[in-house]
Amino acid sequence: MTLGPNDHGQCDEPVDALLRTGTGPCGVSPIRETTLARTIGVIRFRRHVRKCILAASLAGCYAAGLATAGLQTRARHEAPSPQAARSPSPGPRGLPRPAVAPARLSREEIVRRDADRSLLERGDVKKATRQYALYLKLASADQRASSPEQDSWLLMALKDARSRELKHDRVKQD
Amino acid sequence: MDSAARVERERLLRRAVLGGDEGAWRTWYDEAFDALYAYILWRCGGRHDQADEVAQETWLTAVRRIRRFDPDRGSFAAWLRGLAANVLRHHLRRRSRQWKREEAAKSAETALSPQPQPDHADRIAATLDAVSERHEAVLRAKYLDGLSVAEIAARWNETPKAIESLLTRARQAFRELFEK
Repeated sequence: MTLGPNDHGQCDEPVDALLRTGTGPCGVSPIRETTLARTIGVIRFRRHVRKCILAASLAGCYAAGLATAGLQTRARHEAPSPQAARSPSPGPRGLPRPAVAPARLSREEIVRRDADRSLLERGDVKKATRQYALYLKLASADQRASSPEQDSWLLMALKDARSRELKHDRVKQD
Repeated sequence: MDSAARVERERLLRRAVLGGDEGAWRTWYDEAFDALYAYILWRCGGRHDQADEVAQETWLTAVRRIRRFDPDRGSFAAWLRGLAANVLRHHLRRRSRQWKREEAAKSAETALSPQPQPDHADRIAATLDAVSERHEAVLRAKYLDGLSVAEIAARWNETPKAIESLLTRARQAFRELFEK
């Protein structure tokens, strides 16, 4: 199809007619609702995928937490090595106690060790306090003053309270 | 709506749609559907069946690629028109290949029968696809949007003389490509 001569500056009717094809009112498009439904389907699908990813991430974090807790529990319950069983248990601050054969431990030392166990292993502060009090009663001044770096915090506090009490009593007597 | 307000509004809508808000998408869809469909129908030379196909594909592409839409670079309507133009280009290429295959098959059967021609609407669509972007934009403003030369000049910050000259060149380009 050829078009008529083009008049510059004037309306080119054949071209205008071609360019006006498809303009004018479109009416109600039959695909409007179906297309909307399909696009909303895409949005919903994307939303579900996002939720699944979030759920999977949370589950992954939870599983990682469980695994970490499991590893820690396993490490705590691992049996001590034979060497560790033979050597004496470390003192309250982790310093090794001088190796003393059980048969040669004095009564006050046994009481003190019981008190350490009550405090550190079982967390029984009341029982440990009673046992430390007994130890302080039984032990001599030299024994009480020896190896203060191996004293637990409770024993240190009790020693401190006891020495203040004694100082107070001495001041009162004076 | 001024430019800054338009950008802000479209930014909010985009964020809402990306968050899965169906209501935001419905708002955008309802606002833009008629204008986009009119544009696609014009570009298809008035063929409703092809326009329906292109419009559906354009909207599906838009919702899938909504993350790539940047309100600072242009309006949602302009972005949709760009998508529609690409979809239509692929359709035209597909139809052209299909038509050539049919032509080859038919001429193999009967060498003497007249060669089939692409229809009128296809030729208009192909011509509009072939003109430059600037020519297409001014032809769209004039024939689809129905703006006068003065109105186009005001919107584009050009003089009416410049728009008149551009329109003439655009019509000339359309004519030459159509007659090819």
